Amino acid sequence: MVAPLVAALLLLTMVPLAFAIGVSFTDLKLNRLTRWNWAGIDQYLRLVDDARWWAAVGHSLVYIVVPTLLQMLFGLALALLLHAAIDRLRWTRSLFILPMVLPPVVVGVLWKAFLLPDFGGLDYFMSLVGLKAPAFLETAEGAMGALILTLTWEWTPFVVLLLLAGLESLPQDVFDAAHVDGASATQNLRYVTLPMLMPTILVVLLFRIIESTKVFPVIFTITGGGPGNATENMDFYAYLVGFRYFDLAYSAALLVAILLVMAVICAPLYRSLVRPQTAG
Amino acid sequence: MVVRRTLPSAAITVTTLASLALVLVPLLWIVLLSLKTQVQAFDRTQVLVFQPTLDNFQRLLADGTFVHYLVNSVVVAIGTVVVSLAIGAPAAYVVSRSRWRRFRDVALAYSLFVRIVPPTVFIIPYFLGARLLGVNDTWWVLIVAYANLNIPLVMWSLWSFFNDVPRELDEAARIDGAGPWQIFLRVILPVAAPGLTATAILTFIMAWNEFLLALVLTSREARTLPVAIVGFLAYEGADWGLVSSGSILVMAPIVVFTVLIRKYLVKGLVGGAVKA
Repeated sequence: MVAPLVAALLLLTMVPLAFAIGVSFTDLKLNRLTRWNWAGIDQYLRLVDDARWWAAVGHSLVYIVVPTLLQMLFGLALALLLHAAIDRLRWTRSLFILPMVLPPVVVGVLWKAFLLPDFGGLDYFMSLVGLKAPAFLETAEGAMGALILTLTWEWTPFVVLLLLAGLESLPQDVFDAAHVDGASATQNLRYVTLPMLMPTILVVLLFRIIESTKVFPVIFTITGGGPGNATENMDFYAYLVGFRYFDLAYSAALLVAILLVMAVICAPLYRSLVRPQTAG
Repeated sequence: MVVRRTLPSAAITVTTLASLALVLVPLLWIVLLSLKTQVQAFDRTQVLVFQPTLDNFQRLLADGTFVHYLVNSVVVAIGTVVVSLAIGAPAAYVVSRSRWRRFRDVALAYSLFVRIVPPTVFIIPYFLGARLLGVNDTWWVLIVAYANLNIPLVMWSLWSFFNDVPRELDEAARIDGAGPWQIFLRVILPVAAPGLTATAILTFIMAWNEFLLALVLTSREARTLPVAIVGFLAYEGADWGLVSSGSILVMAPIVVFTVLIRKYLVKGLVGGAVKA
């Protein structure tokens, strides 16, 4: 039973991956696929001096850190709130998690329509209370802000969903004991709920970090990487290099670099968090 | 229980509903947009109160290409579900029944690793491979590429469902003389049916929503809906009527599916990593 499955997985995943790594050591171009030479580590040397690449690395770090933190914060708050809400409000849960299952392209389109000046809803609702909406899509900072806002909206539901499940699986008697001992609500949260929820919080964090690189559709629809290159992440730049500038070999080298960066970030988290829980 | 002791339940209810309203406002905006003409969309005197029209939806469906892309999306998503489950389900079963700890570790690391690999990494090999085999811009290349991304998710998800099926069932079937495939197909799958359904729906959603690979691997024939919607956005002068009505039609089935499988969503997404 095992052999055909392993073969299928190798063929679908490992062979293409090895092929991509192979391409990164050539000078293959999309517009002359039949003529190519081995180029050793030339593509990787180009990467070292590529200022646009390093800018993209910086933006990627922003997408990994800022929206993830906001999602964790809002997610935890909403999970505690929904957990405390009366049972008659259970129907709201399906609606709260909606953003994370929508097609990412739709999420992008939706927020673009909402943020566009003189057209979008934000502009309109803020003008109702006499405020002016920030210029989200014109400046570099604004465009980055628009993406952070969108990603926070899109993925906070993931945190809510999982932390809510975590909260519901906590044993009730511990809370009763804390209550009997006269613990206040804040003490309860700080010394009982959060420590017990911590393993779940860390797993959710790991998943959010892994998925935080997969923001291509949202960048593509809302800012297109711009203005200039201000909102381009590593993936987006690698895509442009390969399929707009036709430089497949360099694109492959960038992608291998991305993979290494992600492996370095995720390996320690994985080892300490996920394995102990699922090994059983 | 934690918050309940500090805030009266009315305050919690109000806060919950207010948060929900905030979350839903951008969605509501695009629903309104889909019911407006291009003129109404830009008219600040007809924002919330206007004469709704189904014009945009009619334009969308009257144009044969949208329907063509809709068919592509359905076929590719169903094909992905079939291939991913055909490979991922037995794989998950093998891992869940293995007594060999090292093997479980490797399988777990593998399925997480494929998740860490940015999907962008696969576009170059799949693009060149498809050209080599002459299957560029067909359903097949998308189905295979999506299966590659979804098999680890299927494994991850099903394996926690299989773990919940008692091993005594396997044993009993083995004593009756059943082989491993027979045990899997006749005994385990029927018991794990709810998990299997939830995983299938989750895989469907993943394939239905995917954009990046569809953008690169298809051009005219096999194009799927997410790529089509971005097409309406064009760089200058987006046709917001088509963008918004198209978005509504693409998200509609996803919304229905989510409500159906919400109970299983946690297990489906992160497997046994979070106790639910």
